[in-house]
Amino acid sequence: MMENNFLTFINNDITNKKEILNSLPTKTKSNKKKINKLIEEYKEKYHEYRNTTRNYLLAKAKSFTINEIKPKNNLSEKLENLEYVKFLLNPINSYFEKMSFDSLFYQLNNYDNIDFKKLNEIINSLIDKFQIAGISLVSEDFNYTTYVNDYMKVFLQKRVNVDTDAYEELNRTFEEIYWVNPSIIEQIELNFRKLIKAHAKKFEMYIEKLKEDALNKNNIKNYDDCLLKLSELRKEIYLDNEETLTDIIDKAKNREIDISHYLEGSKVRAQAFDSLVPPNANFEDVIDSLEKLLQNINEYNDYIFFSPVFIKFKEEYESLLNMKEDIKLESLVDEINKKESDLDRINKRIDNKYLNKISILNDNKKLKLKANLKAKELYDLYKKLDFLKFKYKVKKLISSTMTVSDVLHLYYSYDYFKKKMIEDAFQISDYDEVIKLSEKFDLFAMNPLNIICNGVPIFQDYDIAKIIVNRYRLENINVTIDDLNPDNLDQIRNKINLILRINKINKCNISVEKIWFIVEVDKIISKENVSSEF
Amino acid sequence: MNEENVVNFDLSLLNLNELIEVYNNISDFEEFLNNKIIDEEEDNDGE
Repeated sequence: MMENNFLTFINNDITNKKEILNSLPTKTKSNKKKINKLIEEYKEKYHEYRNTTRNYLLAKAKSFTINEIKPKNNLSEKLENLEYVKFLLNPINSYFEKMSFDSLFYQLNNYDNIDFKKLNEIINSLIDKFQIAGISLVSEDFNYTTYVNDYMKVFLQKRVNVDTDAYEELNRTFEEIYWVNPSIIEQIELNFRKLIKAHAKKFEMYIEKLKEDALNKNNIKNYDDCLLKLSELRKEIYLDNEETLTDIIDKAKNREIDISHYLEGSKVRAQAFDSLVPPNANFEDVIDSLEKLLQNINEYNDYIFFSPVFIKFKEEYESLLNMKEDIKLESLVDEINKKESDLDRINKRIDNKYLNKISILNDNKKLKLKANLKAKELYDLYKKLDFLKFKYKVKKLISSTMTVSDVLHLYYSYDYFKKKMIEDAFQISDYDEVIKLSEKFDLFAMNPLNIICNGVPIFQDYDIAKIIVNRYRLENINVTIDDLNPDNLDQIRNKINLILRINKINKCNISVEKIWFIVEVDKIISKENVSSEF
Repeated sequence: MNEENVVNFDLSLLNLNELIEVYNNISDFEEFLNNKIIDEEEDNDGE
């Protein structure tokens, strides 16, 4: 009787063939030859079966694949433009941050983490910034100390002719200076700071021009208009970046998700639906709520991650709420100006003419040491001034109703202080780690879907988990305080994503079973490709 | 013994689970056969 069910046939055939092979004698050489011949026959047949079956599986899997065509858009370009306008118009920082001098000085401060090439790249960038504002720097501008002048003279010469010889000469010059004066990099920074101060008006005018051009080019009225447009655009991008069916299938193939959990009858699926989908609810409404819940949880997760920053901010600045006196910068600025005049006088006494006279050489040595000490004092004063300026800014912005969003925006606007805060709050000194967290911070601060942070005051204790739980309890969605425990957030997110993905799959007129099948076939093909390599 | 060709069977009668199962069973049996091959040069009693 011909059995038309191939599976039944194969199972029976395998059983029979195994019985036959087990029953045959294996003692003699001719016995063995006979068995092996039979095995070869069976192998040939089953190879044919496997090929045919595999081809059928492939064709069937292919028939399920849906071609999703994502329309090309220029959303990223639009975003880049708007972010740039926002950056220029930011009302809370100055030309110093807008020219990214603060970011470059942060890098310079971490010179123990950068190589010589990078150091010169930073110096080049600084000079370029002057250039684009219409200021051409020459070696006479670099006179903070004689050491700075020695190095920058060579640097400026070599800047134009960038070749290996030039680089080696620069390296040699730096080496010579460094062993006599290890503070050379700090002094280069001081020199640039002095030059920035001297050309402040020019930089301000340059930034004003950039602002005007950006407003006109992008048809934006003002800062608030820019924020509004950015918020709308980011929401558009968020929807555009939503997981597609192809994304889900790829994740299933890469084992990022376990598609078997998505099948009806899976305990994991049942549990997710039981806790998060109220019975008899309108499924579309539930999906809407779950999408919002996921955003809230993501925001809460970021908030928890950066809570050391908020705690540190409170510790450092809460006292400013009750501080009546203004923060005075003038005396520190005056002190710096006076010390820089003193330094100028010392430098002028250094004799560069009669260097064959021992007395001149000795005097010069003493003067250069004196200059170094003065420069060190100035370096500390500048750092003090930076912090005082920031404190001054914080005092202007601070109030009892200051929100977490306000703090995010503050540090987002001051790259140098954001990174310093991250070092402090997270107790990290690894440069790359700080940069990584800084980028993560920016993404958090820029997220227009933040809704919780906009309402949480920084100086009060809010139980955000409870706020979220109560909000969704109103819709009979059972997310618990335990679900929102930072250690458990991944679990609740996985549950929500499972439901959202199932909804996506159903909307695309495919089933979870078909996706499971596509994944299984993909496994089979991969395995075959691996074995064929050997 | 009748040797059946796959063409005699309608694979579309199998559901998705069964399709994967039949492939895996075929593949497993091939592995079984590979392991069953006997070394003919091995010394043994009687010839």
